[in-house]
Amino acid sequence: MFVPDFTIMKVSLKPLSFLKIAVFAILFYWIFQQLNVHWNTAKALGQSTTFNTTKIESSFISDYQKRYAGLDSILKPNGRYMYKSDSVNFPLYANNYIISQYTLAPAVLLENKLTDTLIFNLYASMNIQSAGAQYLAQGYTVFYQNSFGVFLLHK
Amino acid sequence: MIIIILLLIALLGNLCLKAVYSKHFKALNINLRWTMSYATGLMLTSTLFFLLNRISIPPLLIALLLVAGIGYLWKRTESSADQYNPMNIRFPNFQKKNWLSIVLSTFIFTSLGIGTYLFFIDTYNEPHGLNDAWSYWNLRAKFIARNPSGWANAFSDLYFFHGDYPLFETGLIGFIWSITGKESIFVPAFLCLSFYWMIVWAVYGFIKELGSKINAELAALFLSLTPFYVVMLSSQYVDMQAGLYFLMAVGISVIAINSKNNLWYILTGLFAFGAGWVKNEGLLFIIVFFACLKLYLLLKDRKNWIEKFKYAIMGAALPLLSILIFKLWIAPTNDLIQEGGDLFSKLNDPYRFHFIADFWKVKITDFGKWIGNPWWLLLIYIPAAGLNVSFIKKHYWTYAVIIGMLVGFFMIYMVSYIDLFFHLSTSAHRLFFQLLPVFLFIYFASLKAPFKEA
Repeated sequence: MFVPDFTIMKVSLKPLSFLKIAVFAILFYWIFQQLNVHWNTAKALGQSTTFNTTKIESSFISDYQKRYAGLDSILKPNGRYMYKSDSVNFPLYANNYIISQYTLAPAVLLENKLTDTLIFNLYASMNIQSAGAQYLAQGYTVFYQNSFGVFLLHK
Repeated sequence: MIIIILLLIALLGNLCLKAVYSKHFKALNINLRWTMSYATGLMLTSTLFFLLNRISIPPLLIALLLVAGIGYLWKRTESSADQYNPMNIRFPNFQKKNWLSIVLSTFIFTSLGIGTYLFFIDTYNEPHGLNDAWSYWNLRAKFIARNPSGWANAFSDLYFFHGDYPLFETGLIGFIWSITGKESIFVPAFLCLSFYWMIVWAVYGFIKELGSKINAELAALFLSLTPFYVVMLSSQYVDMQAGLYFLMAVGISVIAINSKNNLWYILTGLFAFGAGWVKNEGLLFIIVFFACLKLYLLLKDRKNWIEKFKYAIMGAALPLLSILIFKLWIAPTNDLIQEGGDLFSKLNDPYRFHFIADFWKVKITDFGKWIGNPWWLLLIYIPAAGLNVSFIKKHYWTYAVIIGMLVGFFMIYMVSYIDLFFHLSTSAHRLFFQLLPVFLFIYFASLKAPFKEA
């Protein structure tokens, strides 16, 4: 059983001067305040978050080969992939297919000027209806799609 | 799976250190032994993966080689006369502990526990980390995982996602993703969580080894109670990692100077150059750290400093080679250098100087997001505890490292091409945070125990 050794406490407290006690009192006050902030943040975040297991499971991103295998067979003979960050406009070249490396965003990636081809690299396949709505309305049709959320639209 | 891999990496580091340092390593406290092991294991894994990948060895074979290395070192340790079992961990005897120590340890674990709980909620809400994590660090790891043989071509083409940032964390994540065949978000997330615990543990271990136990506990508590530390934990940025390697390099060199065993300088080199493999700020650290150490050794030990630096360069071999290959052949030019413009006129601009100084004055007190200004607390603690004069006399050069780093950071802001307010507001707090573990180590090691320890 755990029994604190109070004899040590007596010995240890002896040389403590008033200044030391005052400093430790302030220190402990600050520690309690800081712990309180930690605790309140944790409590507030925990209460405001609704947990569901599918969110974490769907965050696993499938591997490269499976994700782009179909797309490779369609585009590789004529063009090449480039990767693009979401925030920067990348120069457009003929047969240069730019694909976002980051798969979270339901983002339109690049309109290829020559072939009127769009590649969508989406988080989930169902997102094409919202992300591609504008292009589908303009007469683009889904030329290729797979279950990972990769779509090729063509006009 | 990720936890098993991280444990194996720590074991690799532990066995390597045991093989090199033998009884000197065993003489250190257990906290220091395992944090050093983990930092060493991660650095060896990251640099070896990068270097072997450059000679076209597939990731799975690299993993097998590392496991074989662990097996060999384990066998070698077992068969040696000096039997050593790294799993033989003694649990603390609570009856022998001081009451204050028990209270402070409880606070530390409570604080770390709450931090870990916050980590799980934050990671649930932001599974890919904050902006820089998914748009730079983890993004580049996907290139490595998806195309282990051709990723380097993409890095040199695309400079806008910071292809020049060093590959310590990116390489590790890419390596683990490629050997497990799954781009699991738990890899970068748990790496960050491990660093969160590891830095507090390392600060505690170093101060306990070189100062007093009560100060070690206070330092660990101060760090774990820093709210910004928890923000960094779930951000998946690499500022914590840089902080750990800065701390390791300074701490090990203090041990090296104290022990007069030149072999410790191998580890100094590994950690100091390792910091340069973690983040670009680490390159500044290499210059500042070795300049301060060299000046100190020249003053104290003029005859043998070259001998000591030889050991440091020996230890630095892997990260140095990795940095050189990466920076010379793979990475695009750093944007701060490429877009530098007229550096001289920027350096002579008093407006920039005042703007940065004013911003720093505010930021330096609140970068940790503490309640109030904790520096007053640290200031009044100095007379309460008393100065550890022998440490200050012997290791005053460590203060120069902190000052040198701050001057270096200031100069970077002076010549930055980015909008000054934007640059400062997005990075100054993280730069200060990188120096916080080293600062806490130096501060608390420079003080005596506030009362006689039982």
